[in-house]
Amino acid sequence: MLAGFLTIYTLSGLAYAQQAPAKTETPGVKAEIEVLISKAEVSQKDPLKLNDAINKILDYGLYNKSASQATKSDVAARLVKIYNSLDDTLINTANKKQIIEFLGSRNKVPEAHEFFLSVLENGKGQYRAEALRAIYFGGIPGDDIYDKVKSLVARGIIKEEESLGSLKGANPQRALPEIQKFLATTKDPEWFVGIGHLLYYYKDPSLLDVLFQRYDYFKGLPASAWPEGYDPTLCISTEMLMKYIEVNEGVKLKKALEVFEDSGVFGNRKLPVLQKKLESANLATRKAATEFLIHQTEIGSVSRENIAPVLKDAEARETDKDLKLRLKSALKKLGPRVGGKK
Amino acid sequence: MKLIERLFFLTLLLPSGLWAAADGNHTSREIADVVFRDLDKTLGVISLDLHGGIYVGNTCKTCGDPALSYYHQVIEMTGMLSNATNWRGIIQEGKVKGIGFVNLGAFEHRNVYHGAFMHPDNPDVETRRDILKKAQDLRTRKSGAIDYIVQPGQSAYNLQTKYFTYGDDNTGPVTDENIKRMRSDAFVEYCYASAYVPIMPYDLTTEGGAASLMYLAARGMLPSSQQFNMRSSQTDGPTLTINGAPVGDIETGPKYDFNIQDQKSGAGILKISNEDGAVVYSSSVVLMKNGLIQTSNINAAHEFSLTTADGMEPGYFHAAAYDHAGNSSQNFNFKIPELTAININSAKDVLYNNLRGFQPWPLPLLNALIPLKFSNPSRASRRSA
Repeated sequence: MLAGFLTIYTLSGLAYAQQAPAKTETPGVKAEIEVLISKAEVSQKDPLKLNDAINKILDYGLYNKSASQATKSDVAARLVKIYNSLDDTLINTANKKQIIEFLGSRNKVPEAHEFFLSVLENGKGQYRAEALRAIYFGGIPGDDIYDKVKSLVARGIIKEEESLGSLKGANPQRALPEIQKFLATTKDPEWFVGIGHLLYYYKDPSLLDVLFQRYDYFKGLPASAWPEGYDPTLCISTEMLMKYIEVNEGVKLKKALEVFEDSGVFGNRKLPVLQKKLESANLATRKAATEFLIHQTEIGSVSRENIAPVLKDAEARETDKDLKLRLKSALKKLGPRVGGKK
Repeated sequence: MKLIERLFFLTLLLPSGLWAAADGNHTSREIADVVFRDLDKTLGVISLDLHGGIYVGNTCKTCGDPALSYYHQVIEMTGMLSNATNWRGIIQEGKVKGIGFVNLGAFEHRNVYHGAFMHPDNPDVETRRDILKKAQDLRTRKSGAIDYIVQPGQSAYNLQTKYFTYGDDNTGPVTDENIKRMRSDAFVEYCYASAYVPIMPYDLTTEGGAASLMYLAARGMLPSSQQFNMRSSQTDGPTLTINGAPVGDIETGPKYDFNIQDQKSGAGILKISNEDGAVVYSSSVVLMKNGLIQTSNINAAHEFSLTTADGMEPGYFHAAAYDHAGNSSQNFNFKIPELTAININSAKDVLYNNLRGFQPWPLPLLNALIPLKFSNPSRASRRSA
C-alpha cells in the first residue's frame, strides 16, 4: 500500500515538474482568468464568497504563469477596484490582505505598483504592514517604492528596523549600506538577530563581517537583556557561517569558530572543513582550528575515533613547536584506545 | 496526467484509517521526532486532519521524573489556537500564531494524540540536532516573519489546499530568508529537508521539490500524508560506562568518570542514589535555557567526573542515565570499597542472588528508580530465623 501511495505521489509530482509553463497566453487561459475575476466581482457583497473567489485566483496564479501583461494589468485594475469597495469587517479584512498579497506577488504591472504606493501612503496600519511584507519578498521592487518606505520612516509612521526588510525587497543594493549601518550600531538584541537574517539574501560571506564585529557586544549582554528565545548566534544561519569559515583565515576564522562553537552545530560530518584549516599555511588559522577541534572533542561533539587520525596527521605535519606540543598533548589525552600513544 | 490525478484522488477518498500509518509511540520518543495530534475541530465537529510538531526533548531536567511529558517541549508552526473559528469556519482575529514552543503534555492532551514518529532512516544525533537548529533558526526572523498558511478572516478549509509559499511568486531558490507562509507539516518538512532527510518524496528546500509539494497539497496532500511516510518512533536508552571500562571491570580510584553515550538524543542526566535511596548526585546537561534550544549541549557522549566530594564514598550505589528525550539507561548497582573489592553489576537477577543481605525489589520497580535496600546479613538471618 505504501509503495503504491508513494508511486502515485512520485508520478503526480513528476508529471507536474515536467509541465513546462506556456510562454504565451492561450485563449483558454484568458477565458479561465475572466471567469475567476468575474466571480470575484459579482461576489463583492458576500465576503465569504469573495474569499473563496480570491483564493481561486491565488491558486490559479500559482500554477499558471502564462497570462499576458495586458491580462495581468486588467486583473490588477479590477482587483484594486474590488479592494476599494470593501469595508473592514473580519472577512473583508482578510480579502483585502489577500488582494495585497496577490498584487504583490505575481503581477508586476504598473497598476499593482501604483496600488502599493497608495496603500503605503494612505492604508490603515494592518494593510500597510501587509504591503510592506509583500515588498519584503521582492514582489514590488522599485526606487519609488524604496523612497516611499524611507519617507514613512522619516515621518515616524514606521520604525527604521521595520523598514529594512522592505527596503531590501524594493532595491537590494541600495538597502545594503542601510542594513549594514543598522547592524553596526543597533543595541537591540532582538532586532540585531532579526535584521541579521536579511544578509542571507545577498549570499556573500564577506558581508557578514559586521555580525562578527558586533558579536562580542551582544554576547556580553546579561541574560535579562535578551528576549526569551533569542541569543546572538541566531543572527547567522549555519549555512552562511560555514561559508564564512571556508573563506576566512586567521583572526576572522577564530571569531567565526567562536560563534560556531556557541551555536553548537559542529559534528563529525563537518569535520572535513576544519581538517582543511589544519593544513593552512597561516599559523593563526591552524591554532584556531586546533583549539576548536580539541574543545569539540572534549564536549563530545565529535567522536574520539574520528578526531584522532585528523589530529595525528596535523601533529605529524606541524612545524610550529608550540602547536605541535599542543597537538601531542591533545592526542595523549584522547587515550591509547584511539591511537593517542605511538 | 489525468489518469494519474484520478488515481491520486481515489487514494484520497479511501477511509483514512485504511491507509494511515500505524499509531506512533505514545510512551517514549527521541529528539526531533515528529509528534502528531488531531487538528482542532472546525465548527466544533470536524477535525480536518492532523497537526504535527517537532519534539525538542526533556527541557526541564530538574523538574522531576524525565518520563513525564509535561517536562518536555515541542517546537511547531502553531497555527490556529483553541476555538479559532466561528460557526462558518472563519478564523477569528488573534487566533493564529507562528512558530513557537508548546509543552508536550499540553500537545498530547489538546486533542486525540497519535504519538511520536521517526524518519524511516532513524537519523543519528547529529542530524536530529541539525533539525532542531533549523527549527530554531526559522523562529527568529523579525522583518517579514514567517506566518501560518492561513490567517484571520480566511476560511479554515483553506488548510486543505494551502501548504507553503515563498519569495515573490513561489519560484526561484528556496531559502530560510524568503519563506512566506507554512502549514505545520511544511515547517516540519523544511527542517527535515534542511538536514538532508526529507520525509516526503520531494525536497522542500529546492525549487522543484517545493513546486511539487505545493502542487500535491493543492490536490489534497495533508499532514497525515507526512505521517504516512514516517514510522512509529523506536527509542533506545543511553549506555553508561565508568572509568572508560565496561561495567564490572572498574577499579577503585580517586575519580569516577561516568560516561553516557546516546546515539539518537544525546546524553542528558546522570543520577546516583545511595543504598537508602537518597540521591547523592544528580547532574544534567541543559537542553533549553531562556526559551532557546541549547544545541551545543546535544552530543552523543557526555562525561561526568565524580570524586568523594560528590558523595562517592564507600558504599552501595544505584546509577541511572537518561538521554535528552528522557529515555533511561539500564539501571546499575555498584559499590565502592572498603566493603569488598569494587564490583559493578547491571540490575539483573543474578545481582540479587550474589549479594548477601540484599532485599530485592521486583525488577519492574527498579526501572522506576526505587532505592535499593541493603541490610546487615546477620540481622537479616536472625529475622528470618
